[in-house]
Amino acid sequence: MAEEFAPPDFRFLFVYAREAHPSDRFPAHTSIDRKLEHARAMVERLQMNRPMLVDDLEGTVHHAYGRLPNMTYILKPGGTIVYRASWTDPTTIRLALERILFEREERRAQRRITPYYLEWQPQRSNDRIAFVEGLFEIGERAVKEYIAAVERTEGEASAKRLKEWWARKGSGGDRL
Amino acid sequence: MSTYNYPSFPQDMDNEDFARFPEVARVGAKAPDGELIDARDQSRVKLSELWSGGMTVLEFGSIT
Repeated sequence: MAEEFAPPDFRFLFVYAREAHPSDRFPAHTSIDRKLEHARAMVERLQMNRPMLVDDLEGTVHHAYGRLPNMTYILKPGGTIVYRASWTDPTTIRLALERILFEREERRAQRRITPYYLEWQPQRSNDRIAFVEGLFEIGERAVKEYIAAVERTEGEASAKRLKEWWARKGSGGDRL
Repeated sequence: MSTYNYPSFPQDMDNEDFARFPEVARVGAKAPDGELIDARDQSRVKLSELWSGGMTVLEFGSIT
């Protein structure tokens, strides 16, 4: 999407925060150098073209914006927030960007537009098995801790399917 | 005591942070400024310098 909605219309930036799912390969940061290393590894692994900006070790910027693992904000020049979401969902971001382009066109054509306020709670795809498959790429510890957290916050019934998946997938008789 | 850089995934997920999110910042208000390090050349840059250039899409995340 960063290429599709490229400059001069939009500038896409990525801010590197704390490790959401610390693993043996990518543990929690204990130094800024380590954090920079992880950030560069991410750029490499995902072949990112966007600027990669790294927050300080304490997560000062991350805190200020809400401290969630995958937020997206859209800012006007000057820094006014026009969009903020607790999750990075490409479909709704695309909607917002297309809307912003439409508004830009209206302004160019000198048709009057004024702001209004909208609150919206969309639903995002959240296939848990697909998610833990992804976590498995990060490391077994990340998987185990996530499944334990699901059981802790949502109960045994929610975690059951995940545990069955893990039993089929897991290595060397590891028990959760 | 909870740490920002938690060594293992928090057992309460981050449900409290999700619940608090609507109040942390507001559309229509100015975004928080701050200093970040460019991973490419380790230069320091302020968010306010970056957002002055045009509409900015800011995504937060990590490799894990």
